[in-house]
Amino acid sequence: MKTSLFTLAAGLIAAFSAQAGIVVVGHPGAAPLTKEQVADIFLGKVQSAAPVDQPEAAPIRAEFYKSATGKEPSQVKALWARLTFTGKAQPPKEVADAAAVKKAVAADPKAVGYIDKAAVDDSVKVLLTLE
Amino acid sequence: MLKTLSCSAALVAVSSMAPAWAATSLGEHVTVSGFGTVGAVRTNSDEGDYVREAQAVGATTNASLKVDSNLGLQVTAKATPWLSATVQSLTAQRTTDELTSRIEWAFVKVLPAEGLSVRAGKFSLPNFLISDSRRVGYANTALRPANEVYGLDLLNGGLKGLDASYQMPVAGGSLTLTALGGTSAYTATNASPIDVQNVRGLNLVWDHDGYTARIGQVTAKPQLPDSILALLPPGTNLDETYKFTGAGFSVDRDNVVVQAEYVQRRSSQFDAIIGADAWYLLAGYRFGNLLPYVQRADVRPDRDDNAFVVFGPQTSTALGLRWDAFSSAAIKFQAERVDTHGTRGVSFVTPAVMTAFGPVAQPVTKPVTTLSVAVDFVF
Repeated sequence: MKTSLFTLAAGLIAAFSAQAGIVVVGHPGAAPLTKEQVADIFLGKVQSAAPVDQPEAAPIRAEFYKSATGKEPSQVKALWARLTFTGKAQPPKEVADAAAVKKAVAADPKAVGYIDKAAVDDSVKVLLTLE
Repeated sequence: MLKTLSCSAALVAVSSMAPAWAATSLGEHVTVSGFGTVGAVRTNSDEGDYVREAQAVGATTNASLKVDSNLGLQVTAKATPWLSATVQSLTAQRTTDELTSRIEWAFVKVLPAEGLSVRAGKFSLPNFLISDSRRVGYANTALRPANEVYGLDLLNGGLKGLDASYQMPVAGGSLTLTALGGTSAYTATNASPIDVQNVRGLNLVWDHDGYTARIGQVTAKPQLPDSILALLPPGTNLDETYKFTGAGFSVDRDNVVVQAEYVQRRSSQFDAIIGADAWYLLAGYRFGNLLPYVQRADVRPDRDDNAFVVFGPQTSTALGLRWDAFSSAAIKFQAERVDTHGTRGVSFVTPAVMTAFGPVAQPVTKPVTTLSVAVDFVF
């Protein structure tokens, strides 16, 4: 009982800290973004930036979308299906992990990605911290 | 038919197993993506076939796979950030009793300036809130769009021509203004296409944070064939103008989904047989992966006392559920009651009887209940 309570508490702490620790990153020369701008970029409303996604299986992806756009993964996917099959936009490029996100945004001034705060280094700039 | 369906079934299997949907990249510039539906519907009536739009065969007390099943494939090539080309093919039942494959879109898109986009080629007319994606089940809440509204537009040949869209920030959201021009076609069930010239349209869409509103109008000049001209009294004014106007809104936020549209179909010379008004209202609530919804739809001819009436009033109420069971596939169930008020309505193909005016389709005398199940997927 004690152990399971501890596990539960640890799990909760981990969940909260993970949620509090997502940052939106871009090219070192990029300007900071508001939450609304980030939502617009990842929901295909603006074409001026190139969003970079983490894999669907990565927990950070669902947390990021929930926090930045307030939407469930199924809503986000239905929305991208609508944009794709009306010829309006192509879904975000998907890369393998945080390291690949950093590599992608460091190489492209228009690219915008999201990673765990702990993974930030000099190659990228934090454009927004999600609470 | 069988081949297409087993192909679709295989795709469902594949898409359900695939961990994620991502358009497949072929090299740096080309992406291939697709969508589809495998759907079955049956009714409790043998008075007529339950169909959508101008389909020729559909569901009776025998279930039909031909009403909702379809398969779409799309290839987009992006040469530069401002120049791309898109081709989309769709396999579905259209106006004959077979599933046919056709290129729905083939256009080149240019983005000459931020916010401005110009397309040339073949694409859909923006006559509704979800005109472009009405056959993409996965992108929509309901199992199928309300046929009272979505079956009303006669310009089912799409647009061959040009459109220009300009997007600008307005009232905290973004406003997109689209102007279009070109040619189209109208094909009735089991009939030859009628050429439609001088298609012109304006469409305004505003959206912000889960709210979308749209208003638009398309006018066109159908070129009536000799077979119809022969039936008209001499001296009839043949300068026919077809006009389709619509307004709608949708809300998708805080788990609440609401969608409503109102459309008007008008004809300058034949309004007694073409004129109609229709609307629908859809409301749903999202519980995680489950989205139950209710939809009410209605269509009224401008006049219902005309002997030549080719369609009749119809009211339907549907209860449905969208279940996002897999990461790239949704399962939907829908039960619907369709009341044609003793006429043929708009969703039924009934046997014709010979009258003094030529063959006239029989009415559906009693309200019909339909039951549908569909799997919508993207890949």
